[in-house]
Amino acid sequence: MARPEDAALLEALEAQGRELSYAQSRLEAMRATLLPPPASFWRGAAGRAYEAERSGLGDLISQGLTKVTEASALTALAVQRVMTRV
Amino acid sequence: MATDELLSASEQLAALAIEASLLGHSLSALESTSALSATNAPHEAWQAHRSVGDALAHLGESEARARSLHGALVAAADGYGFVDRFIGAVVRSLASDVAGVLGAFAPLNTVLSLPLLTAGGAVAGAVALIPGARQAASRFMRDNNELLTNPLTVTIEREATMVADDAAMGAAGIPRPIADVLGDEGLGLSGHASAAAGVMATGSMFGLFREGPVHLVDSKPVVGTAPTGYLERLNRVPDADKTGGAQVIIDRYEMPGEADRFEVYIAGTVTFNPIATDEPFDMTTNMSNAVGPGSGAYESVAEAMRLAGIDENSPVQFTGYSQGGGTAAQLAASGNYNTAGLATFGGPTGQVAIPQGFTTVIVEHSDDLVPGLGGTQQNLHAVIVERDVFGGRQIPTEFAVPAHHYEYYEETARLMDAAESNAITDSIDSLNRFSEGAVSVTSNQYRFARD
Repeated sequence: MARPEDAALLEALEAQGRELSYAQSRLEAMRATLLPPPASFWRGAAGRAYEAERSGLGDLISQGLTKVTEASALTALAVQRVMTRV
Repeated sequence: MATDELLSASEQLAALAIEASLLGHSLSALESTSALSATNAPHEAWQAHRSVGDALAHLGESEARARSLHGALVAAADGYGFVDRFIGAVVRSLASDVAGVLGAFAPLNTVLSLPLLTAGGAVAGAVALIPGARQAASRFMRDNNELLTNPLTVTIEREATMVADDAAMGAAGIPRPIADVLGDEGLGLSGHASAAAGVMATGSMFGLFREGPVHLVDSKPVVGTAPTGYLERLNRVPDADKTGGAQVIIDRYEMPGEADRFEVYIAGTVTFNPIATDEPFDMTTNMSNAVGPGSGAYESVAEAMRLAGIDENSPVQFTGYSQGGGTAAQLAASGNYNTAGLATFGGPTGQVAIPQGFTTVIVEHSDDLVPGLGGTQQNLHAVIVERDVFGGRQIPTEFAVPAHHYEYYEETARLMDAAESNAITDSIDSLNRFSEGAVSVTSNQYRFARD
């Protein structure tokens, strides 16, 4: 049972947890469906340059996802900590 | 097909940029929530706050990169191949200049470099003529196969084969502007084919690359099947070591109420000896194919087709591996046959003008020197499947040119069978439809020799 003075904070953290969980699923969907697969349409140097950019973009999305997942886990820990405060 | 794929990828990237932007706005709102920075928040909430900030930075960069890639793809879709052609043209132009200058200053070098540039002919000649040179060359190739099995080496090789004629014209004292007008980039009066013809003419003085007529040695029925995938198609190509020397297999599909249809499968190089012996699937054919139709292998297949009952109206599909790919492309391009489909694996086909109007699949390993011998790939209407076989993995040391080995093309064919790209699946569907409705398949293998 949270302390009455933590009620607003707890509510904000729980809302953040929900938002982050939603953001996590959107990022996963983004990586799975919106990132184009490796290209067969460009060859040679242009193909390699495109593939480097495409794969770099994939890495960025993955890093973003990692950070959101991390924030989500930390938020859950924060909620737990606030709930157990005495 | 390329434009469709380009546009589809660019649409995905546009949607990705929008989604990254929307998600960024949601996370920004979260980041600025006052409760997050409340003084009574535990330290995990502060850490979460920082992680959200990092995620926002990644999302912002993702959005910018996606927009930039989207723009590049839209621009490229307006003229597919522009970038590759542009890069190729720049490299070729620079290489032509260098070749022309070298040729003008060193005529002897030019004579020697022509075969090197076009097909390693001089090396092949030395290997054939100098005792012990074959073992030395073979050891050199194996020891240096990391250099040889490299997409950049293949790109340079492709460009080098395209400028061999410039070196010759430089040696002949033809000024560069006139050479430009005559060459591949101009009237096309000189170029890849004429350079190869020059090598053959020079080589023939030393007993190399001498073409001659061919004759049928043996023909016999074999088990016929209609392939249903790229791997099965490649596996129908005869391996002379396993077929008793037969280099051609022809399958006849009996179609009720229609003319019979034919699949022609053509073997790769059987011997790499530059001195023409009785084997027509040799280095001489490799050089001849670069000049145009009429090589020993070409004439062998044409004769096998005649014996199989194929005339100019018979629907026919060609499949070849290595040299067989080049020969298949020459036959399809000859205009002498009612070609319905063509599949080549590791063939030097770049400068063969394959007509449009039928399904053509060209499979090339980007680290394989052999397709590079065909010069830059001009058949951009075809479905061109490229694969960097040893990108990121160990190169076997037992072969000189491992990326050309049949087993790696089998591996690629397997990957193509599992691929989901519309271009690849549509092409195999089209090649497979050729045998649909056939009530029987009969098959013959043919072995030819030079006279």
